[in-house]
Amino acid sequence: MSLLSVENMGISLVGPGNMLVEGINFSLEKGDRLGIIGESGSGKSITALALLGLLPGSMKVTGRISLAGTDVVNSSERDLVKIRGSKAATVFQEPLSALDPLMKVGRQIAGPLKLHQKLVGEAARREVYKLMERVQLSDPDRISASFPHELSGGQRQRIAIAMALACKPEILIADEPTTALDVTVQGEVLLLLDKLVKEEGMSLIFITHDLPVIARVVSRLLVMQDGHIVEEGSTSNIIESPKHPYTKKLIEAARTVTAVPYVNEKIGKRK
Amino acid sequence: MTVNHPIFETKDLVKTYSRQGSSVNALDGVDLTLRSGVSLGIVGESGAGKSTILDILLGIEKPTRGTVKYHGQELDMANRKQMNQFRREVQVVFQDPKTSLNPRMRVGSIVGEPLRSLKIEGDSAQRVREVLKAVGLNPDVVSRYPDEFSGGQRQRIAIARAIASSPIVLIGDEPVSALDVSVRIQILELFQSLKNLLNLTLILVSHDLAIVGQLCEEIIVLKNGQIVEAGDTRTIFTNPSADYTKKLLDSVPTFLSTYPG
Repeated sequence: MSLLSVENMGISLVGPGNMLVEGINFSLEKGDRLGIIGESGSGKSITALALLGLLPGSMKVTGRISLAGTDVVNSSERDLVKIRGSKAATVFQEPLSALDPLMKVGRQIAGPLKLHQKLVGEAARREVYKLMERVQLSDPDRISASFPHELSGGQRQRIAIAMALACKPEILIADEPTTALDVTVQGEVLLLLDKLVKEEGMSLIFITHDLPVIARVVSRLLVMQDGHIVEEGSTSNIIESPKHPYTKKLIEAARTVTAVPYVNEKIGKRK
Repeated sequence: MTVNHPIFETKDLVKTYSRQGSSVNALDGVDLTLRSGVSLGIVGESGAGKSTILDILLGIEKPTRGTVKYHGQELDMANRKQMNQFRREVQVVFQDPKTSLNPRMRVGSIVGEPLRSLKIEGDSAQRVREVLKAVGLNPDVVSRYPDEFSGGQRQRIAIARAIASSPIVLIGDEPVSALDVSVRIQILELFQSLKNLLNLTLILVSHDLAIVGQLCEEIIVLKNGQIVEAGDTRTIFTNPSADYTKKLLDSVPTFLSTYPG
């Protein structure tokens, strides 16, 4: 059985019934690194939220999602809480809104440890420090006693990653984890994520609009447009010989906007 | 117009913000020159001072120290006549057209607003239709509201508003960062064609060297309120001297030739 399997999943608005996402099928095995690429409105983020049963009440999921043996669509909130963080954890785009502004970050990292592993006190503190070391945050004394606003964007995202790692999830779902960061920090966080996923033997679902970024991390890609998967395949196949016109357009666009004049403008030339 | 004066010339700009007794130099001695027809890119990451420079060049903020000359004349926010002329000639497009367009105003009044507030004479309805056409929109959209448009279309509306007063300088503050990649290209191409067509000199503020480099002949790289490197785009890209510039260039996320497998 796959670690995660999604069968004919659809997401619609409760009430009007408009389909936001339709006919989504994919599966994820242990150690897989899967990318979901698409632009705004493609449905990539709500797809990610649906995997953990995190969609707002205004949306309804149909089809089947099986995550580490749990039927996500039909499970109660109580059962979902048990798998969130422990079976699959998420890192979101904006660490400032993912973190509680009123809680020191040390306590926030300890949150999932307490919930899932019943770790408290000195044992929890030691684990928090270990996690901070894993995400390459130096000076754990100072940082764990800081509030999110006292840290830089990169540090905050590292905290969010530490929280995601806390309960050794089997799947890490990262939704635009580098998009809100400064460009020079983006690369560092990307390398860190890549390294951690490999070292911990996690499976990764990486969601972004940024093709060159995702192409460095994942081995398989799903391309989404208007709520549908329009193309899927290995990263190298998709980037080197895209089939669907939309994929072609995305790749062309990415090559153009990342073309540095005089340096690599050749690969950015169109026509 | 005065001959050979640069459009903008700043000398030793310092902007200090103080809060709870401590003060931060958001800008720390910035000299820059904008010459007609030589578009300038201002690149840096968060906290570099990009927005502060922009506010000063737009005449919204006063520098703590240093001067801004516009066509050789010191910019004086109290000088109404100068400021009226200045605001006609220097216009801006912001990052996020969701917040830069008033959701309660129809497109026609949004785009026509500079014409009214700067008391520009002439047939403003006609002018609004003209600039909408220039940015690739159907002029009949005047009666619609911003939320009926996509991100890219909204940014076109914002650009139409910016060019309505026939400016000579168009400032873009991360004008494509909030847009989808495929839309980004269209907006960049629009900037390029307007630049040529209307003889605009651009100031483009961005964290993205690639984008700035595609539109600007000169670049300054800012870090912590100071210029770490300035020069023409080709030299900066092919032979960057500051380590920080190299780091920025390296972080442009280009495709690698190998893939994880």
